[in-house]
Formats: sequence, C-alpha cells, structure tokens
Amino acid sequence: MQLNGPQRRNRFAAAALSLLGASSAATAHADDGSDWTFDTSTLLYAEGAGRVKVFEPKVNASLHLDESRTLAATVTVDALSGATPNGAAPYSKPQTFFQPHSTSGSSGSSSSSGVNSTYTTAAYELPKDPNFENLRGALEIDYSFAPAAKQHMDLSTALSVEDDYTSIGVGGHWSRDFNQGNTTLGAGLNFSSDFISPVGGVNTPLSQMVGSIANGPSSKLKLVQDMVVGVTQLVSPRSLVQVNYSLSHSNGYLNDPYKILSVVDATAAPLYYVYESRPGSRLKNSLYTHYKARAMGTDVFDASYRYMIDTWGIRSHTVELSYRAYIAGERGYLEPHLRGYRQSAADFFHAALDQGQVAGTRFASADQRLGAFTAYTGGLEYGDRHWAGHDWSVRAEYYRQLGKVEGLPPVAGNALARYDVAPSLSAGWLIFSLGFR
Amino acid sequence: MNFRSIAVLAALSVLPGCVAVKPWQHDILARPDMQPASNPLQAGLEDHIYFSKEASSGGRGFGGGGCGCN
Repeated sequence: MQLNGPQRRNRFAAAALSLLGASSAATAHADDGSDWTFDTSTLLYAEGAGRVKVFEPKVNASLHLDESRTLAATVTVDALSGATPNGAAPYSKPQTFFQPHSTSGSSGSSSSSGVNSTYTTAAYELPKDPNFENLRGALEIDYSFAPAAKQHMDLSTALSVEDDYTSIGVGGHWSRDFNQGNTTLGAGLNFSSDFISPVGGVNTPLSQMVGSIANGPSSKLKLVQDMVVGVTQLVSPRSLVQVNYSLSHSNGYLNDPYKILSVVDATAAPLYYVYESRPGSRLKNSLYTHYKARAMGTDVFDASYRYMIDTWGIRSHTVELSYRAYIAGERGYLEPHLRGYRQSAADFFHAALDQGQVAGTRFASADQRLGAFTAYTGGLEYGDRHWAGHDWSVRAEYYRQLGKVEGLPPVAGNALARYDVAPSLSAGWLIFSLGFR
Repeated sequence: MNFRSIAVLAALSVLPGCVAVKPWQHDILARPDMQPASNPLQAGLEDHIYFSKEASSGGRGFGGGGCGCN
C-alpha cells in the first residue's frame, strides 16, 4: 500500500510546483528560514458489522537542503484488527473453518503450532474470519533535486514490514517544464519486490482446506513494475489540468493466501472449501485526468476522473469532486468531498463453485474486491491554516459499497440466490493532520 | 444519470480552452492548495483504504502494492 505513499505523491506535487515556480509543497512553507518541516496524519477507520478497525499514524520529516534539494523520511505504523470475509458463501447452517492464523486464539480447539484450530460462523451470514489482525511498519526515504534548469528529479526507496508480508521498492520520477512554465511533462518508474509468508505456509491454489497448516512452501515472491507518464498544463491564470497514463505490471504470487471459495451442491450446501487461485500476472492500464481551479475568489474546485482496465477483465470508473471554501478571511476552510466508484468483476470471480467447475477451472476467487460493485464516499474536512503558526485539519468520510451478485455456480444458482452473497459494506473514518512549520 | 454520463461530464469539465499564462500570473496557482495533492499524507491514507477495498489503484501516482492488504 505504501507505493501510493506521501513521498510518491510529493513527487507529483513537486513536479507541478516546479512548473509553477516553487520547489515543493514543503518548501513553499519554509520561508520563515526553517530548514525542517514536519507533517503528521493519523487515520481512525472502522467498518460496520464488527468488521475491520484500523489505527494508522504517519509522520513525515523533510530537510530542505537548499531551494531545490529536499531529503525526506516518512514513517507509517498500521494496526488492524477485526473480522474479514474469508471468501466462503453463506448457508442456512453454521459453518466451521480452519483458522489459518494458527497462533491466534479461536473459538475452536487450540492454538499451538501444528495443531488445527477452527472458528464457526453464524447461519445465513457471510462467513468472516473473526481473528484477522495485523501490524505493519513502513519507512520511505525520498530525495528530490534539480538535475538541470527547469527539471526536477525525485528518487525514493521504501520498505514495508508485517508478520506475513515484506515489501522493498525503489523508484524515480523526472519532470521538465516547457512553454514558459505553462507545461510540465513527467515520467516515472517504480519497482518493488514483495515477499509473502502466510502464517502456516502457502496453500496450493484450488486445493481443499483440510487444516490450519498449509501444504505448500513457506513463502512466495511477487514483483511489481509501475510506469507513469503525464502532462500538467496551465489552462488559465486560475486553473490547471493534469493527465496521467500509468501502467502497472505484477507477476508471481498474486493470491490472497487466506481467501477460500465454497464448493457447493445443488442446494447450496457447502461440500468443502478450496483456496483461491489467481493468474500469475496482471497488467493494469489507468488514465487519470484532474482539473483544479480557483473559484469565487480564493476557493478551490477540484474534479478528477480515472478509468482503469486490466488483464483480469476488470474495468473501473472513479469520479471525485471537492470544493474548498475559505472562511474567516482564509484562516480556515470547509471542504465537502464526494467520490463515486464502479468496477466490473474479474473474469475468474465466482461467488462459489460447483464440483463441475472445480474440475474444469484454473483460476477462481470469491474475494469481494474482485467482484462487481458500486461505491460512494461523502465527507467533509475542516482546516485551520494559522494555528500558532502551524496548520491542522480534520476530515470525516463515510464509505458505502453496494455489491452486485455475480458468479453464481450454474448448479446452485437458484439455491444461492436466497442468500445475501454480496452484502453491502459501510465504513467511516477520521483523519487528523498537523503540519509544523 | 449513470456512471458513464458522470464520467463524460467530468471529462468535458477539464477541456476549457487553453490561454497563455504569463510567468507573473503563476502566483495564484503556486499556492499549496492548488497542488495535485494538497495534503500528501492524508491522500496516502485514503489511497491505502481504497487499495485495500477495491481492485483499482493509482492514477495520481504509482499503482499501489507493497502490503498484504490486497
């Protein structure tokens, strides 16, 4: 997740700023002579129905060496707990599953290594693993400089560590101003290597779930290569347009090691469960357009649209709108925000499988994130830009995901249609941000 | 109004006619609140949420990855 982190975004912000005659977002605030700037943002996130809760603070320290050179470090801690869908379909009776987290407590038998443990989910409900928890730490180092006049370069490296997942990455982004600073062209590359070591080991895709300990190797590798090219164009003294095209290729182990599918009979009764199986490579293409303009004096209107298409058969549309209205003589602001998102399902998405399908398929996943759904976000941010010389903001957002039922097995389609196989998801979050100047 | 029409409207809204902006007119656009992501840490936290709940990621920057959340 940290590949979308602040340093990488800073890189694009810095590219746009260089276009505008400043050097970076941080140095734009450093005109009081200070060489250091510090920023923090803390996320409190909770999903409805007792699902996931997250506490995630981020701290960024930037050392501005001179007008064009900045060295920055960002530290993230990400603590997550709660229940998460395991991929199985609901049924009219309670269902029992092996707990992959063999060292976690569970409602079943015991928990030492090598001993199976289980949990049981309620009838009619979408089965969830109740013991999902994770602690992640991440560090990003970023160095930005001007290799030549009108040019900006940003180099970064990132490390993210959690119990069962480690990622290391390096990246670079270059940009150059043209046309009296009205146009900036940019290009960037990023590479990461991720090491996945599921608790209990790696299960063979589409193999039957028979215990807490996996039947495969202890770890797997995933490689990700990202490329982005973009242009930022000033279209008036009060507005700009940004267009980015990005390509992301990943290969290796792309499964979620803990996700399963139900194999059901004609009455939708689960016969057994199998581990999901995703293709070993994925290519995503995204086109992102962003329009930003001054309105009503100093207010800011922001609109963006992204289209994504990938080789797994997923298409998505994302639209975001926000309006920052300054109040109290620009000391503070109120910013309402709306977001709409829709995606189609992956070609291999199945809500469940029947026995004929298991025999005939290579790839299958019941992960709702690969299914079809529409989602909406609405929120409001308040910010104070002159609090004892610093600035702070608080942002509250509400997210609702409305699932679409797809991928029912032919043999049990009617029987499964009685259940809520794609329940809606609600989540809310608060983000507190503080910038020390 | 379906999603596609919203997308078309959004695309049209970003196609006003370009005018030459003189260097001395860049000051309004140089303010931090006019940057593509005016609060990068906050944007990073929200990208993380969407990356862990949806199949798409990236656009503004690189396409996501680096954690076990998706």
